Amino acid sequence: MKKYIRIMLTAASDQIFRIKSLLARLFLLIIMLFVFNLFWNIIGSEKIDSNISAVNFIWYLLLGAVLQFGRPEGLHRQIEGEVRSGDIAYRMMRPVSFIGYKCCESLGTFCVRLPILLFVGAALITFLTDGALPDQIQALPIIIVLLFGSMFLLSLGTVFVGLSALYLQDSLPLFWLVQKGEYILGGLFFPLTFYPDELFRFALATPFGSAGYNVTSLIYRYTPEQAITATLSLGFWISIMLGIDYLLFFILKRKVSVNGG
Amino acid sequence: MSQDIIVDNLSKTFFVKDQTGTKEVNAVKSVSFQIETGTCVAFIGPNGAGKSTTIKMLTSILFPSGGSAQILGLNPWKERRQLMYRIGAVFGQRSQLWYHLPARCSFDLIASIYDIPDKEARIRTTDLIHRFDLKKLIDKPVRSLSLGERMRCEIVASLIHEPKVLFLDEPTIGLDVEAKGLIRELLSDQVRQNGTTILMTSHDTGDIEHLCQRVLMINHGRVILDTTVTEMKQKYLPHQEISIIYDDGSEQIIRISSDQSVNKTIRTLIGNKNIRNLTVANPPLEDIIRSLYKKDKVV
Repeated sequence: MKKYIRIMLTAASDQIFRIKSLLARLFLLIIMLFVFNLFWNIIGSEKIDSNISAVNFIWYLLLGAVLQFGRPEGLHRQIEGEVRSGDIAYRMMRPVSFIGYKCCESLGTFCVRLPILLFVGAALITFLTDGALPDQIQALPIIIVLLFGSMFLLSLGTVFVGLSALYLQDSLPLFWLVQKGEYILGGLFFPLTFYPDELFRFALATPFGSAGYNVTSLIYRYTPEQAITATLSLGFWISIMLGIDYLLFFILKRKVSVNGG
Repeated sequence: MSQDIIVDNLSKTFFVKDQTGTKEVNAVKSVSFQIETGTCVAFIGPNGAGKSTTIKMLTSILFPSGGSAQILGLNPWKERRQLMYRIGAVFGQRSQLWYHLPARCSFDLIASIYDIPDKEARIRTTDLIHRFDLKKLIDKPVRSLSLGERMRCEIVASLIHEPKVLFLDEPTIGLDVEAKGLIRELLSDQVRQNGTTILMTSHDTGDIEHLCQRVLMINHGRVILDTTVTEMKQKYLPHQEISIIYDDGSEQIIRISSDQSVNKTIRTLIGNKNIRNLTVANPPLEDIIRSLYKKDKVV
């Protein structure tokens, strides 16, 4: 376990040395929140969903954006490159799990980015909404913990996309699909309650809904039961994705052995 | 002396798909050799000869199609986990260092990956930093280091867990003359002082001459030569060059094949003429190796 914590710490240190990348993400976050706040005020949230006020919505959006901007850039490309060049074979020489290594790298990056993005985003929102807070602001500490679970699940998805280069040669189409899945079915742009009932239920049943909406919407609909549901759902999908990733990695190891590095 | 590496009839067949169907490629065919503890062996051959495949099998990355191997008494495929802790590897063009971080962070991480206790890791890292003269570089981001400095860090990174056997794949690739010299010196010290066994692939004959006591040459998946570096230079000379400057200022350069007598050739050439200077030169190691690559079987 210690080695995985060290991987996270190293990835976190790496972020501190890459301050420009973080600043670029902060800039994007500010623009996004500003535009969405304006947009929301114009169309009026209550007309679409009476449960979500403009303040709740913008906080919900901030948490989704923290998930998106908090993850390491190009992880799938990096893994794809390792698969295509055969470098992944050399990674197998280390007494550490490849999938665990990549996920800890993501979590370490998130450790640094989350507080900065959240702090700046929250400050901006407070300014834009004249200090109004979302309905369940007291759930923020729990949400932050769950966001790490979400990041773990999203990272497993990204590792899957990267490893899929074994079959697809180019993982970009799959990455594109997964990314859109995160936005649409994960509700990272709009809460899933905006969708018709069938689509809402479908989205909730996917890993995207579990990593996104289920966690981020707690900011306005938190109850202990909802938090437990979100945790169980995350646990379920993390187990499934871990299984899929390990299976794919096992196939990859066999392929390397049968077809060469 | 004990044998750290024992390879017996190791072979590997790949199945490669192309437009016409699946083809069998015999990358390694019945390779056998043994390497004693504390020796540095050059594992050479032209591109596609089977060097990397053999090393990948010995480092437990690939499962062989046939034969067996023992590294430090361990079966690489059955006792993979134990073996990982006892072998190290440097693959010239693949970095194990974090690009934006100082090398020290990567060393700490690698120590953790190999489950080395913090105190022990500090002692080992300090010793390696001293031996590899990295004190001034250790806190600079890796991206700001020169290629030679980075390679020194790579080698340190692969030595932190004190491997008994080190696999080096082109450790001096792309380095300038000075950096190459330094790396060779440091690796020689490692073999002498710590008794580390090194199996090294390199296309640089300087690496072979300065570092290795023995040469294993592989081509078309088979070992075609297994000899000492000195013997290779003496026994497998493709030709020698005789250069004569006569008293009248004229010059003659003759290349003779290795089976021709130098003595007889010189007597015939000189005849009754007076000579000012005469040199008999061996070709560079590179030429010897090139001539051996052309042969399918040497031993």
